[in-house]
Amino acid sequence: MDSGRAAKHLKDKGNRCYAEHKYKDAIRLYTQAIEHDPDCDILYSNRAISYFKIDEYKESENDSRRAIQIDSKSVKGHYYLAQSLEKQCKLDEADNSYYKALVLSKEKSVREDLFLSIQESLFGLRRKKSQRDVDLQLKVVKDVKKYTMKMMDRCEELDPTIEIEEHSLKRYQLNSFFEQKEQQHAQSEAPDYLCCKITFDIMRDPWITPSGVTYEKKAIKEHLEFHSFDPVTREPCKLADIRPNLLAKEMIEDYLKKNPNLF
Amino acid sequence: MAAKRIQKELKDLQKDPPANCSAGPNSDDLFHWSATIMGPADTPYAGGLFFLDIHFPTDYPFKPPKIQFRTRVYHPNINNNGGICLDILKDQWSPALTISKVLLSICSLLNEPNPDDPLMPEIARDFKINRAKFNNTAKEWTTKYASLDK
Repeated sequence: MDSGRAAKHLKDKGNRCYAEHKYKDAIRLYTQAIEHDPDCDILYSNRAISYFKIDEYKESENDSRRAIQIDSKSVKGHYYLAQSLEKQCKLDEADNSYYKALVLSKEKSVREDLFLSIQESLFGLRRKKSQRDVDLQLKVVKDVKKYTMKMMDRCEELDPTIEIEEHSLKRYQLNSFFEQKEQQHAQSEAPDYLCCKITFDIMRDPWITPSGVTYEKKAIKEHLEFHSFDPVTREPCKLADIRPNLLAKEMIEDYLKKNPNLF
Repeated sequence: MAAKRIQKELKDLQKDPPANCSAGPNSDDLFHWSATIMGPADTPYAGGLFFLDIHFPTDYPFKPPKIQFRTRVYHPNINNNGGICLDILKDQWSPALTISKVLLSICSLLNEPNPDDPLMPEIARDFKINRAKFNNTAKEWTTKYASLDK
């Protein structure tokens, strides 16, 4: 058997083990295959996802990088690299890799489910990142508040000439200023008027019925496939009656730009 | 989508609970809830606490939730198994309805039975032509099955 065929045979066996969740066996078989054919990116990306499954993220990262070295346009190489980086809390690097994987998968028109899961992972990571940023900012606000309040108390003790009334007014104003800031940071929900009346989630593709109610397109379509009424007003409404709501779309895009944590 | 929507409803319920009702998941299963309704004042159900089971279908909210009384209730539109005859739980369901709104509708049903569309024809007959007897039996059942101090 020549080495190309041997490698393919071992890879197929590895794939079968992977499908049966025997990841360690799969890794062993892919490793043997790589000995026969060291320049095949798929072998590395397959071993990368197998390492990922047994929580060996560093190994998974290394294999993904090898796959990318061989084929810089490997969608799975970039995708698995991103996943292993995310698990190692390297969120900004992971973002880059998900994005590359997404762009490449569009270019190479890969399977739709692969494209969608890359997209979902990227959105998930961005939500996580902005939550991290919000948490950090909130921590800073809380720290500064604590410090300032302490300093104001100390001034009061040390300086006998201080105007008590004015001082406590300023103290009160400063306190409410900080509280307001904290509330702004803690806000993590989209306003109701930008949410679909069926999904209760912020709309991505808002469509409007003749009654003037706006829904997520996918949700209202699913309802109208079996029913002929508007869910909120109960007025007659058919699938052919709904239209995109461009104003809502602009408002949502604008809102998401200002509140990226709701991405 | 179902899980996300149910989670949002749960959050809203906790933030702004409807009067005289409570609801939430039994354990880790988000699709199986328990709820309680307090018997409305000035009805034979006053003073009672009624338990209900809620099952969300996997295609919720496109299909209605399945809701049953677990406490026995003497009512023309509620049968021995706790089944409820309520249009919005059947053909009048809309995906814009919520558990909160449904529970309020069930409260209204306790307030105002609908004897013209009965699940229990004999109870409906009592309700229509012998209201005193209906009230007595309903009160007895409330004390017997739904009383708080048991």
